[in-house]
Amino acid sequence: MKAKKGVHKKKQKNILAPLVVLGIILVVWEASTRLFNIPRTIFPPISSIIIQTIDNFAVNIWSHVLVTIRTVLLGMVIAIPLGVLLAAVFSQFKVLRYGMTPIVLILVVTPMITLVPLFMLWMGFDYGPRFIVVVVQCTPIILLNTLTGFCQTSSKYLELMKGYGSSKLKTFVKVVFPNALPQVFTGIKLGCIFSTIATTSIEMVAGQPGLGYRVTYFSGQIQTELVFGCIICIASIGLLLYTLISIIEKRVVTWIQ
Amino acid sequence: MKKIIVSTDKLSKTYFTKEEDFMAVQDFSVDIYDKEFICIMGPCSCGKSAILKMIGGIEEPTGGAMKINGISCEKKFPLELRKKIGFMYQNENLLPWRTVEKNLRLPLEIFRDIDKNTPQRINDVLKMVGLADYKEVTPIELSGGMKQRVGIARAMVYDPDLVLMDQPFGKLDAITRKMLAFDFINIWQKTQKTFVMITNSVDEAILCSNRVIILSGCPAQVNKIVDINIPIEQRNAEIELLPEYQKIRKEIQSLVRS
Repeated sequence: MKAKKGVHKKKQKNILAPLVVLGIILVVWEASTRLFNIPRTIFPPISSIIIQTIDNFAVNIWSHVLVTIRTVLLGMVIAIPLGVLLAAVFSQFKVLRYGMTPIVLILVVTPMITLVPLFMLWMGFDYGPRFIVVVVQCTPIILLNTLTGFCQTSSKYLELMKGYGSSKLKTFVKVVFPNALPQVFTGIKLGCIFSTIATTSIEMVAGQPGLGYRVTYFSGQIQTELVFGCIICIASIGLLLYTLISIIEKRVVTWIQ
Repeated sequence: MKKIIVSTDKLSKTYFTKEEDFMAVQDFSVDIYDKEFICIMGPCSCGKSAILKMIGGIEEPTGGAMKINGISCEKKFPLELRKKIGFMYQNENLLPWRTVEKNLRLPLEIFRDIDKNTPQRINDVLKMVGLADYKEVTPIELSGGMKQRVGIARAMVYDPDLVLMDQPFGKLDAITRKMLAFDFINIWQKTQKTFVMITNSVDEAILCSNRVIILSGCPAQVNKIVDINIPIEQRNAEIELLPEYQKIRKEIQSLVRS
């Protein structure tokens, strides 16, 4: 079947190469900030970023990490089924599909940060309803990708099901949906990216709590190490979510190499 | 009097596109009898698949009449008929996200024909095509010939009376073609079903079938129907040595070329 040795070597390369690049970046960062005596308020060395962030973590950062994660996850948990469901409905009615696509597109390209002041007007500063912004930002992109997947089912598969006299529902469940899974996952991964952007945007504009808020707060306090630290936390959350989805995708979508 | 399975009367198919109307099939009138092995041959690929797909209920005829098992089906194709017809596609048309076994289950799921005997039925039909060990394999791991054989198995898993095959050997090498052709004759003999096969190989047509329908160019019309009067016992690797074989071969080749 598969040449196990070759696959193993490829996996090693996949993990080793990025780690090596990361290592080089960190070394260059540390060396150049020290060498050129760059002020810590402008661009601190990575070592002090790490030390400061760990020192302040439990007290000043951890609770905000949890808040950001909550908003991102809650938003995604709603956006994914909503996007897929709407795409399923739109795919069945040409009128809906052609009529709604421009509107969905507008929602995708409009940065949520511009709408946050409006959301604050409607929902207040409280962090409870903030996930709604994530839902509004992420559902359209998931919807768009999933819809494309549903509407691009190969005609030969549809022919196959027609030959068996299959109902529309059976055809959807057995053929259209599984066939679209690669695109569904693409939409979800894009949604992950949008979700961290949206969450950080709200937190920066609407204020506490959250990592986005902490970035503006520490900037104001000229605690640049902690600004970097929070940014790294935000990026980590996004990366973790994206990686999780990718792992699930590899398990589910087994027929595309 | 032998039973007529498929009877068509001036069957025609026109494809309506934005640019022009394209007539693929014109006045196809043919009777296919029970337990026959029919081969359809012809030049360009336009009309042959359309004919088979009309008989299989996959495309609607734009003109003419058609009866299968005595039931009129040119307007509406009854579900009961679909359960009696197996179709094998030119591109095998397997679902890539399903294993071989699950691909075979697909028609049974749609026909709601699943019971405790189903795994055994699937095993039996896979054994018949020589793929009993490949139940848990996905199509991406199969060769072209194996995929075609899965296609045959799927066409027969619900025990249809009529088996339609659209160039089943199209993508295969010469050796696999020969091997599968002999398999087909054996399966046909054993199962006593009616087979209709589109092929572009004169040798295969003479080897497998008892009648060959030769079509003219686009739009496809019946040019001639040639009887192959070679007894089943002589349909083996030595068939080409028969004088009868060479005579029929010359006849068909000249008809196809015209």
